[in-house]
Amino acid sequence: MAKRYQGCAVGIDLGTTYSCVAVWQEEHQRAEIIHNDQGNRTTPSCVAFTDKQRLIGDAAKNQAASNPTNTIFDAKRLIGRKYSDSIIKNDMMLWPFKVIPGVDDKPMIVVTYKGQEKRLCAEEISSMVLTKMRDIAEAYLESPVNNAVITVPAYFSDSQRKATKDAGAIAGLNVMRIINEPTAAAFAYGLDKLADCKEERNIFIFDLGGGTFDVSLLTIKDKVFEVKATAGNTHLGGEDFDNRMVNYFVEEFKRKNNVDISGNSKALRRLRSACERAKRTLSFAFDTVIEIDALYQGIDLYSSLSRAKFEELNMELFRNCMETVDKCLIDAKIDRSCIHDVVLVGGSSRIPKVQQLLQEFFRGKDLCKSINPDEAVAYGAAVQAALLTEDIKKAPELVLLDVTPLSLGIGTTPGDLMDVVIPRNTTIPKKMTKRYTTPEDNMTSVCINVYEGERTRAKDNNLLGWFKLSGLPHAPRGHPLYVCFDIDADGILNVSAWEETNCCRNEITITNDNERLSAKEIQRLIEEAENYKVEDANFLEKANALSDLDRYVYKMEKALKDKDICSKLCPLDKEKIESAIAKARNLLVGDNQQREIKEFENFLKGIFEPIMAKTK
Amino acid sequence: KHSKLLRQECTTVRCCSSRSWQTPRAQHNYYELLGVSADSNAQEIREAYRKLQKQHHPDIVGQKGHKYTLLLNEAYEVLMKDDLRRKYDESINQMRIRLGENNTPLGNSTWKGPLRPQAL
Repeated sequence: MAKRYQGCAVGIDLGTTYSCVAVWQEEHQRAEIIHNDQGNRTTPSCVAFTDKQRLIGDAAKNQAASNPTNTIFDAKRLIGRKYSDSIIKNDMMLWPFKVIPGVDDKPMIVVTYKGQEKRLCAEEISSMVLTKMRDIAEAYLESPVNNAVITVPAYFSDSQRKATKDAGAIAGLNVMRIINEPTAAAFAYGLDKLADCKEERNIFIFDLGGGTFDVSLLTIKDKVFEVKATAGNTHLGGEDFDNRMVNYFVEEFKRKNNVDISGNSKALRRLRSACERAKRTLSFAFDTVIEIDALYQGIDLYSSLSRAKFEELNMELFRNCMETVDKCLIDAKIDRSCIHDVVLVGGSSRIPKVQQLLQEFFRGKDLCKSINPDEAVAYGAAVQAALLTEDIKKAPELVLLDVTPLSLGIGTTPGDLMDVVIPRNTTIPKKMTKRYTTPEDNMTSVCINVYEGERTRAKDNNLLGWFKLSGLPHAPRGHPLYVCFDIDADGILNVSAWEETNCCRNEITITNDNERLSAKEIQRLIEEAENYKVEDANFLEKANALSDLDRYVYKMEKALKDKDICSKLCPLDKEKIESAIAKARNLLVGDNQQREIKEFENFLKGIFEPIMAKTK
Repeated sequence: KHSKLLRQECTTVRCCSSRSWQTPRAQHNYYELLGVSADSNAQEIREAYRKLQKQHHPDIVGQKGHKYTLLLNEAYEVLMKDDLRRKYDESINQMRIRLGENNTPLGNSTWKGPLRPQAL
């Protein structure tokens, strides 16, 4: 339900590889990107588990090469999908971490945390990233943050959206709205660059990120953002370009050195990082070298890669992008010559070949690079968050007229065909009633299976939910029935069905299907997330205590080495200090509780300080 | 697992080829709803639609805007597509003719909206 929220609200771009958080600043009438504790404006969507602690963001990514099997990334590629999904099967071959099938074919990530095996779902990993983003925002705003708008690729399915919403719930966030990434980027562009523009403009958003690809066509006028059509691929982005490069170098290494590194996760991780760097370099240089010392069995990898070769490796994927662009324009029924601005969003939109193909597609049109491709989505999400927040009086006066990205319909007999009730790219909210009939004589009940997708056969689409309409009156086949789809501004679908004389009626709100986490499960995960938080805090405190003890021991040692002080010490005191230092050294290397460490530090002080006082 | 079995056993509905069941288009006067004249062009309709969306969209006024926005979207969809608009114009003009023939068939209501000449 579209309702107004109270308190601080942020916009979070939860990306495949990087995430970004922004907040609307009422006094400045603009959104502000919030930097993290390392001073970076984007944070890697990466979570790592070690034998001591859990790491999120930059800290996790930085240790990836030394701990590849417990460093989890790409959770966005798993979220809301089934383990048996062919896309996941392909991805798994490249992931250094282990994924196994869980209950209901849900993919589960296996990690070793503090020496114990743990199984985590993608929602949990994403929730950890969201928690990090929330912490970043709280540190900056100096107040608690409870509400957030989270962005997803426009082409995400219903179950992927809901899983993302669940991730927000596990992170303790109240997810006000899930909005589409290209739409959010359009907000950023429209507010920032077209603030004074009075004419109607057709904007084409090209969003090629780390893991997903989206395009959207909007018309903007007087701060009304009307989405005309959207298309995309939830599995196409920078990571795929990296994969192609990794495969190429694995083959080359095999050919040159006759060794196969594809089974070695550490080597693959190092190669992947080098490839990602090389890819970035090739956006401005024409060739680059890849150097990795002792990649495998002491053999170095030393090779070069030209921009042309990089383009050749990925040409198929680039062409794929252009097909999607074409599809979007056809859906919108707008000719490419009527597009006023082509806006680039997402890190991978920096690739020169992509820009060149896009420019050729739009017949030489200049591409708009004036917004920051890494931050625009979070900026737009913050704008939407401000719109939905009650406390903000001076929110930008804009309205978003969004569309359904996928067709919605029901399965029909014979042949289990998909009958579309609401076609894709329909402006929401939308209500549509359609008449159906009973397929057989004297039927007492029928099933209404609700699907989303574009395939002809119903079961090839995503099943969103189903219900039974029973208690039908005895009648020959062809008895009329009505099915109504009602989708609100939040994108929540309500399906109802009734018989003509209204003697029976049933309905379903598509909110909780069997793939989704139950309320109880979410509660359990929230508690678990709380545990992680406590453990992280404990670890930090213990590390601080150890460091304090270490510092104190150092101070004592320094005093013993000091000739001035030493000369004033009686041998007994000196011995006392020395034995205390030895004990402390033992404590520092052992695995002790934080309380013991603190107590021991006090004990040391108790010995050391009176002795030192005597020397004064 | 149990729920999945149940679903497979159950028969789904059959598609209905005829589309005449749809609620008559003339139920609401789309021109009045958008506050435009019946001979307005696409640009005028678009402007009116946007202006009203800014006032009534659920994101701005909350849940109470849902019903009105539904109607706006319906009116906009019909009036922006040439074939749908032609059919709609025909249906309201027919109603007007019917009303003209037997004076007051529906109480005292009469069609006072402008006539769109090209639709007749």
